[in-house]
Amino acid sequence: MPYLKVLIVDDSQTVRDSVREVLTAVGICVIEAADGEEGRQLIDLTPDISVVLCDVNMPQMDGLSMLEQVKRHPEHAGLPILMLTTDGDPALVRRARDAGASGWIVKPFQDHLLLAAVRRVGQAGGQRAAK
Amino acid sequence: MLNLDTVDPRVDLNLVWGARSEFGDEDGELLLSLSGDLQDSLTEVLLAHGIEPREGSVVADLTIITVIGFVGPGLVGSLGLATSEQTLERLHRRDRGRDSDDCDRGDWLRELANQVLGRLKAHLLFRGLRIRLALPQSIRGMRLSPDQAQARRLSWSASCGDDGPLLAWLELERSEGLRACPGPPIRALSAGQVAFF
Repeated sequence: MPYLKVLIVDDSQTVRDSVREVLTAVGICVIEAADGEEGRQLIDLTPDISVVLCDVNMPQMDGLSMLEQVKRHPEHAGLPILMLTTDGDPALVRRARDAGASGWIVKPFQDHLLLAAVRRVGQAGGQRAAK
Repeated sequence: MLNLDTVDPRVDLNLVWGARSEFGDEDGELLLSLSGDLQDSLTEVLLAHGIEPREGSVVADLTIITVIGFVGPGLVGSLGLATSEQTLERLHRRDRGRDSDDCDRGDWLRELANQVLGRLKAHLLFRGLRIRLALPQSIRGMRLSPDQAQARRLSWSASCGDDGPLLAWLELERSEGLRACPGPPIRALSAGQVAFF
């Protein structure tokens, strides 16, 4: 497996811990942000991020706004962003897809499906980081 | 005693509402459906965290309450979860498999409420009602008591086996014309579902 670095953006420490436990158990590096603004800044500062997992409903900046801002920058256009949220509203799912998200995962998530999703989209992120 | 009406999670929504009316008899079917939706949503989320609930009664002193407000066309409300510190500690350990501090447990309950409301939103979408969620808020205290006198409050008490009781409630208000608001059923993604674009 190629080296993967995943940024998890979620205001819940519980969710960040759960994701970190699943991913670090298989050797994936995980960094964390507690809201969309912090996530956007970390993406700017960390060029080797392979995949972003991002909550939707957060303080400061929500996940869909972060997604839209990040994807406006050409250097982040190829960065895979998976939305990880309790909300399965198809209107929000469409907004994320139109903004350039790679996928949508509804919490509570299943560990093996989360890992499979990260690996699936991570290849593109790894290629981005190698450039 | 704490009257939850003094802790209104909707103030952050910064919305001004016009005249409201309480749910009337004609809303009985909707309220019955929502009561079932609340029970189903809580059960689904607890099972996903390895906790098997059954209907029970709350006898323990409630010491922590989490509330999330929501708003939609013609509808405003909040979801609440409450339990005791001892029960919360047991439930958290059952889910996370380790000891925790107050901060961990409070965050865990807020995320649990968030997931329950996410499932409830899916039910509401299927009834043609779209809502927007606020952020969860928690309060701690001794012998907290949600105001049960509110006729518009739907509640369900779950017993989580030996782990203790968990109280869930849904508080609703509607503005005039709610009946005109529901659109066609909308199917939301299910819990655990992964969609790739």
